[in-house]
Formats: sequence, structure tokens, C-alpha cells
Amino acid sequence: MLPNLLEKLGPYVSQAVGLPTESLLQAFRPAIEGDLPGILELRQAVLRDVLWWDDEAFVRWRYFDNKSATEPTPYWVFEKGKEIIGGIGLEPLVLVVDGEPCPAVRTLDIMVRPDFDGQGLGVLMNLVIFKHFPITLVTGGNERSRNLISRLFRHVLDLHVWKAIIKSRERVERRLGPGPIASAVAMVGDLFLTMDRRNWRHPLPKKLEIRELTRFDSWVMVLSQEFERTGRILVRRSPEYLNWRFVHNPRCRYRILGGLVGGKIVGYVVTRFNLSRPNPRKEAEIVDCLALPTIGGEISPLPFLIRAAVDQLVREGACLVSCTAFDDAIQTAVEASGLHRRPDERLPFFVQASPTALHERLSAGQGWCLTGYDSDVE
Amino acid sequence: MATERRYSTDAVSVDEALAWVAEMFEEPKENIRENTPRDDIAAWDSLGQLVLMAKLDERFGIRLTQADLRSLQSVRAILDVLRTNGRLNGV
Repeated sequence: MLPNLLEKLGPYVSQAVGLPTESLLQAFRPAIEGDLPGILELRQAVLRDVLWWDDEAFVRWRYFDNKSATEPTPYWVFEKGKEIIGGIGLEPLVLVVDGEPCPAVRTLDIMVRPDFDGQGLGVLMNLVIFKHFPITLVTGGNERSRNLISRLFRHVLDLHVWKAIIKSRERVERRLGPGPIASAVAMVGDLFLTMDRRNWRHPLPKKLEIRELTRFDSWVMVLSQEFERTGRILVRRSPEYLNWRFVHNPRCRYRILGGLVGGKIVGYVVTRFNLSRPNPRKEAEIVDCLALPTIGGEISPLPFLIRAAVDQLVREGACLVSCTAFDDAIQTAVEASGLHRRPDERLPFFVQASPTALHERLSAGQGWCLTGYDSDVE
Repeated sequence: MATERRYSTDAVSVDEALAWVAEMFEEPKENIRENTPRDDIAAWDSLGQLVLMAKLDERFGIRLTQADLRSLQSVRAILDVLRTNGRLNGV
């Protein structure tokens, strides 16, 4: 249906943007290094009020220096008369479906210059990407873009959100206003929260050691392969990919905790506590995690890793810790660590794939393992 | 504005036009009035804009200009397009 949609709607896009139909598809192409100034100009025009980061460093890292990405550049631009009026970012990845690795892309950072907004350029860019890539994934988006996404992609599932309040002051002040009463209530509240967290703490199994890591190594492939089997769908974790995403990221700092048994890594968790961006609630996130189901067939290492991560974020000063994921084991571990599910908060996840059989398999929603980093551009 | 496609040359009433807009954007009829702004119609995003262009072309033979497109910010603007092209009755 979607390829036909491109043929049907393409002439109207060309009408809307003022380009001949025959040159419409040539105008949308992978970016080259020389496009960088135009890309930054487009992003400045769209993001002007929210740009708290060094955007050139970010764009270079995400789209031009990503050594784990396949060619061509994972950023496509729409050019009209030497000006870039639209762009779409891609994150190339390997999606392992029932044990079979499949090339896929995640779309993100879709932008249209404000004077061309609402004229169909975003639709065209998505439809062309569908033609070029067999699997396209998208998570979240703002309210406006979700409406469009839900009509171009299949809504497969919603990621769940869990949160743990560490410090109650901000919440109390929101209700009572700042002042001595709010301070007293917050102090008592924090005491209860600290006691509650202690209830969730269990002694670490003797054979499990948790240690901060500086980078990912080949061990992560072993963990990933553990989940790459029939009935499961997940993004393959490789050291190149995870080091690019988390270790070399110029926009914020991530921390990695590894769980080790006899010197061998049995799981990891990645956290982020970014105070460089506006973060008035001092919210920290458990961004990604993966662990063997059990250590020696006995106990799962994941709850211990999650608890260690929460403790570390508390020590760093986080007032709120959240985790977004879709996976039974992660759900169990997170809920066993004192984070509470927020049923009214969820993150929709969408897929578009070809051929049809693959699209149907992915759309069925069974066996997916997704974490917060599947939804995240940061 | 001319097109080689087959389309109806009949003009429609304002009520019929409003019903047509409601059906196109999958909105209840009572939600669509002349003064309804584009922002109040969830499906009138960039995909909706393309669908509107295609439907105006298919049903009424109207090809919009870039200036028309920029001014399409309310249901009234759609009615104006129909009116200017002689496809709206009773005004």
C-alpha cells in the first residue's frame, strides 16, 4: 500500500514544494560532508528554542562519524535550489528477528524548514525511506508527529515507564509552594523514601561483582547472542555500536555498570543523569540493560544491576529515576528494585517493514525486547 | 487548474462541502464548521494536506497553487478554494 501512496501523493508534494515531479526524488538524497552547514541551518531554524547542546558536534557524531553505520551517510536531506529544506536522521542497526539478523534503520530527527512545514515533505521523506530500507522503526515522537507516524507505520506496542522518586521536595513544593512547611513535609517524605529503598535492597550474591566499566568489549556480543533466538526480537548489541552510542556521545555522559561472575561479564546497565540540558526535576534514566537470565541457573543478575544503578544515581544527586522498556525480565527486575510502573505514561513503538511476512511478524508485537535507548536520540 | 482527469463539475452546497471535509479527515460532522482552524483537525497534518490536495483534484479537478496551500489554515479556506473555482453553491 505504501509504495502506491508514494506514487499517488508524490505529484502533490512536488506541487506543494514547487519542484517538477521528475526531480522530486533526486532532491531527497543521502547527505555529504559539504551539506553540514545547510543541515545545521535547518536544525537551527527548527530547534532554535531548545538547542542547549553543541549541535555541530552532535550532528558530526551522530551522522558523519558513526563508524558502525553502513554507507551512505545515515542522514538524508531534501534540497531545493541549493537550500536544505528538510532532513531525516537514520540510525542503522541490526535487528535480530527469531535468530535472523536483518538490516534495519531507526528514523529520528525528522525536520522540515518552518516555511515548508505541513506541506507533505515529511510524508515524502518517510515514504522514500521505506523504499530504501527493509525495516524502519520509530519510537515516541511528539504528539503532533505521533498522529502522522501512526498512519504511516504500524503501532506495535507501547514501552512501559517506571519511576522511583528519590527526593520529594520538587513535588511537594509544586503542591504546597516553597516555604518551611514544604521543607518539613519533604524532609519526612524523603525519610520514608529512603526507608522504602532499603526494603528493596538485597545482599549481592557472593559470586556476583558489580563494577563500573569504561567501554563495551566483545563480551557484549555473547550477551546479545543469548537473546538472539526463536521467539525474540531485539536490536543486536555490538561493542562498536554501544561504544558509539554511549561512550563517544558528545551530548551527554553515560555510565556503564557491569555484573561479573568469575571475571566474566553476565550483564550490564547503562544510566544517564544529564544536568547539561534543562532538567529541573533532576531526573536520571536507566537507559539500557541486558543480562543473562540466570547465574548458574539460579538467580538473575539483572535486579542487582538495576539496584546498583539506582544507588549510583542517588549518590550523584538524582531526585527521580526512571526506566522505559518492554521486556518481561526487565519489568521483573525494575519492579523488584523499587521503581513503580506509571500506567498513564507509555511510549508508542512503530514499525514499517517489507516483505509483508516480515512486517506481519514484527507487527504482531510478540517477543520484542526494547529499552529506553531504542527511543532515544540523546 | 485544468486537468485531464474525470471529475464532477457539479457544485456542492456548504453543508455538503463540510460533510466532505469531515469524511476526508475522519472527523464527526459536528466537529467541522466553517471557522474550524486547521490545528483543531488532528488528521490535517502534512499527510492530511496531501490527501486534501488529492481529493480536490480527484473530485473537483482543482489543482492548488503554492499560494493556495499556504493560505489553507482553516475549513473556511477550503470553502474559499471551492468557491473561487465555482464548485460551491449558494454564495
